[in-house]
Amino acid sequence: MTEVGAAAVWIALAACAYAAVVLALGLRADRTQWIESGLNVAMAPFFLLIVAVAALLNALLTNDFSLAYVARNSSSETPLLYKISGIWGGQAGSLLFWSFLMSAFVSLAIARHRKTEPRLTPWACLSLVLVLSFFLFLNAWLESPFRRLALPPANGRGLNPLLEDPGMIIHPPILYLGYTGVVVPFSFAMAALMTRRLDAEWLAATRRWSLFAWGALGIGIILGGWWAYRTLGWGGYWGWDPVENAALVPWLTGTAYIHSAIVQERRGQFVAWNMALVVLTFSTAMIGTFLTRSGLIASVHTFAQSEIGAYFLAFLGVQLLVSFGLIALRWDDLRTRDELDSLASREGAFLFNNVLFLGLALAVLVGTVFPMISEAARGVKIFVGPPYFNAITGPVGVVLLLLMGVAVALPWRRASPAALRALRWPIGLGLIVGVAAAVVLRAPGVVAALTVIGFAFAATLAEYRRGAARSAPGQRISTGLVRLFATQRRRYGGYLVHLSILVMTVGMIGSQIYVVEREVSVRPGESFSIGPYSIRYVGLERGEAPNASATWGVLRVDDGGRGFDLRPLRLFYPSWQQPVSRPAIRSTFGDDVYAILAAFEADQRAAFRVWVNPLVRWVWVGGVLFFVGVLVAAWPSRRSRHVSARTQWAIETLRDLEADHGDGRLTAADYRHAAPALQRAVLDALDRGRPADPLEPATDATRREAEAPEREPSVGERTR
Amino acid sequence: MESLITAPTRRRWLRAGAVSIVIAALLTVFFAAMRLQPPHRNPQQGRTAPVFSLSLFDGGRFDLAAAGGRVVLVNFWSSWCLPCRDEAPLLEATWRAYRGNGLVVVGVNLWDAEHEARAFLQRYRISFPAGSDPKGRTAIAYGVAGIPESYFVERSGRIAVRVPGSLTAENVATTLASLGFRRP
Amino acid sequence: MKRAGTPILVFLFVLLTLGTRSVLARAIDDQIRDVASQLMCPVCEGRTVAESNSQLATQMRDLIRQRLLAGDRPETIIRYFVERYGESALATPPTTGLGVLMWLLPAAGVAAGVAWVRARVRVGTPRAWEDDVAPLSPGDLERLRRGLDEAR
Repeated sequence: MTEVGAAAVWIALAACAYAAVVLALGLRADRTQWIESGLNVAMAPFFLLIVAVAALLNALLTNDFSLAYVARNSSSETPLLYKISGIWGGQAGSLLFWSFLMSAFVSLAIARHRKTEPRLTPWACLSLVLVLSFFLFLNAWLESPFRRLALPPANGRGLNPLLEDPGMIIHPPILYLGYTGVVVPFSFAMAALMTRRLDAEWLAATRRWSLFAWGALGIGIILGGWWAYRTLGWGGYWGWDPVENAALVPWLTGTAYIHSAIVQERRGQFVAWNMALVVLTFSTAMIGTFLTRSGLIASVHTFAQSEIGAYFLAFLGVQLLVSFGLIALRWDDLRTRDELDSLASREGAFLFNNVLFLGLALAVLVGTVFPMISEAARGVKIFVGPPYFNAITGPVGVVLLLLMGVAVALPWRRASPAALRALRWPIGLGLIVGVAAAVVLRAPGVVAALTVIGFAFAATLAEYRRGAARSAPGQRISTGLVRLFATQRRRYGGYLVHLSILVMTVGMIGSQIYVVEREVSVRPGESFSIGPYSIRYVGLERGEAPNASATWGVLRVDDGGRGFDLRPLRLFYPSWQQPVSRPAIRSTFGDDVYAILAAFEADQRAAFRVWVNPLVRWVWVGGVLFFVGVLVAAWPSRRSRHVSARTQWAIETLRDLEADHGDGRLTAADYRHAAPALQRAVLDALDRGRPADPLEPATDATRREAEAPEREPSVGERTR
Repeated sequence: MESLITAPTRRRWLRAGAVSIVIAALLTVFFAAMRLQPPHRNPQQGRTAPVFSLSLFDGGRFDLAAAGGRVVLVNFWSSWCLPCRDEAPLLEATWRAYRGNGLVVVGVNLWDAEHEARAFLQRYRISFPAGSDPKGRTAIAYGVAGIPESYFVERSGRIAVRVPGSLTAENVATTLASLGFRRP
Repeated sequence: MKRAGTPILVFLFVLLTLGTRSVLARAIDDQIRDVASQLMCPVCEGRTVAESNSQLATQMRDLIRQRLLAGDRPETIIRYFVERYGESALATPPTTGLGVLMWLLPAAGVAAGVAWVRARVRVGTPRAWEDDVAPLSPGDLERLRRGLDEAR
């Protein structure tokens, strides 16, 4: 079985190489058959990698310690669930799993787009298989999990105890979904550049892909924080360490992208900018992979020793060169007249959003690589730690939240005075929150943040109310909300994401700024107080965990009511030198009491670290809301299959315009100015897109449009 | 396939080239500036050794200030650390070989439980002075960043050499030779 | 009177408890946390002394506590650690030498972004293209309305 797995990886690599060559030649010689063959063969790695992953799983489940990977990351005592998660518990396995997910996306993308985007898909596929073959090369050549040991041990070392947590079962796969998912939008962008089909097609084809990848990255980051909070035992969930930052940077550039892509859909602008953002998002995802996989984080020396680093660096260089080179080559095609009617418009808000998100991404990226650069240049690591990142993200975050509140209330083109006046209620609410915060909390940064959060919250809720009233006039708000989520999922799902960010920010402010910590050394029976709680140390108890022996301290917490017990653990794994502390957490919506047993003596004297973390739970509540919002926004809508992307965009743009006009956010003059062209465009598109025969399948109409986009008067086209 | 290079591409290539050159130049300047900064000096070496006083496992006391005129090898160790077990016999042998020539070996036990430390001393028949640093003050004063870690303190009280990680017979011999010891 | 009094009392109580808490916020444990979060733990990868549970970090926090109680200023304590562990003991780049660059870079990035936007994006230019199209006839508008309803 093991040999089958190893062979499957090699065959998959061969298939990728074949597909790449045949596609390149076929596209050059314009041979349909070659292209078709390339597309077909490019589906194969997915099935082959299913076999490879199954073989690795089999080795883990059957305790085949003759494999170095299994011996290092599993043991006969490892619980079943963690044997399974052992697939991504170590370097070689997680790289294989990585390729597996990427190959799944390759197959899905081909299956989904080869009929609807016949011109783009071959080029996109070429880019996809090139990226995939790089990773398969690593799997087959450098980091194979199927490598055998000359002298197999009787038992394995077991999974790193810190990884034995439910968070570690779901966090890596979801994060990898995000990391690998961005390859699809990137590849279609490359295809658009190669074929010069730079307008609507690639953006529409990848809209859901990018939303999916971005959402998965975000959820993966949140789950990573959850895992860290539950297992690492330092009372926090985000430490700005390089691995975390590596995932955050592409998420930040991705956030900029999914916003500015909407500007291209609605206004036909920011075309080159979107292209650059997609490339940046993919590049930063690859840089993140490179940083976490090459050993560079540990030190420049481990990097220099690891072979994988050099290959990664070469890959990264080629990728950056090719993608930015292509953008430079097509620059004249990409240029649009970037004129804004006003900065007080949605596109204006998105522009600021982009600048700030990219600024943040730059700061986080530079802060992450700076220690490595300084180590390479001067032989000393100059760290860039939490105080730096907090100092940067705090103020920029407040401005972004402010922008978030303003942007939802702005129309496209130019806001009327009435639109700005309508902001007075949210501003008022924000000010009330701010004054209350100023009286109670005083810290100016927190007061500013809470003011802005109150404002943005009110503005977003008002937007739901307004939308509900518009979509179901005269009916109950709930009816209107249901209709909103049914018809304008992306927009109102997106606002759910906005709300989730606000909720998370409240949780972060509480837990980062108002955390209280105590470090005590106590004898049984002694008490200490922390925040509003008084805690008595009862004594030590001992027991057996599944594959470790455990000692825990019993802490009786008096919260003025019934009280509760905390039992922080210290686990001794026979195969690991150092004991592991497992925190005990009692969580409510108000605060978390978080305790770890740091050390203990034979005479039961014990050292504890205890934190009271206000509002942490709201970070997780926000995380769940984020997931729901992404789900709503990315959920496929039925109607998108019946009309072409451009018609769809034109219809949505017109609907937005009518809605903004109805809400009084556009002046009557601006509306009269803008409406006829849009209405004409939509009407023409509908006339042409409507099947002459009702029995004729609608996909034909779609294809007809897709093949002759020049004739279609689109919104974007006319701006040039 | 459309040809990639069309008539007006030259200008674009030039522009792309110019942008890349500027970026590359900025990066080079940045890196060069980093290198031009005063080279990093390892603070754990070359300065005056922090004096410390240790209560020993055998009941006595060790005072670095009282060791004047002799070279001191300060070794930070712990019973649970595997490399420490490997270097314990070497330290004992060094102590026995050079003590007559004016070398003091002192073991500073760190991050450890007392009974385990005592067992360790017994198992490896350690006869040089060894005491515990229960609050890690001495270790922090020296800048210990891992275990084991050793410091050779000159007669003048300056830290001559810092050895992070295991000592080997060779580096002990060469370091002692450089400090003026003759092989016994 | 009584009715109005209760909420006021509650409000005062809340203020008082929160007030005392913010006084306590300067308690020794928080001061330790402030100092410790500006130092990197020398034995762990990328964790600050405040976060790390390693024995060295625990002892460093204990030393910080002792020094603070003895009346040392945070800067003095941080300097003590830098003298022993070197520049890499700092959790933020120093504000001297090239460390300044780290602090200026994000600001420069945003400034460059704003400058680029100002240079490339023109604001408030009248958009001529909409004028090309005459308003739709009532019949066309009706067709459009029906078409949109269908597309929904």
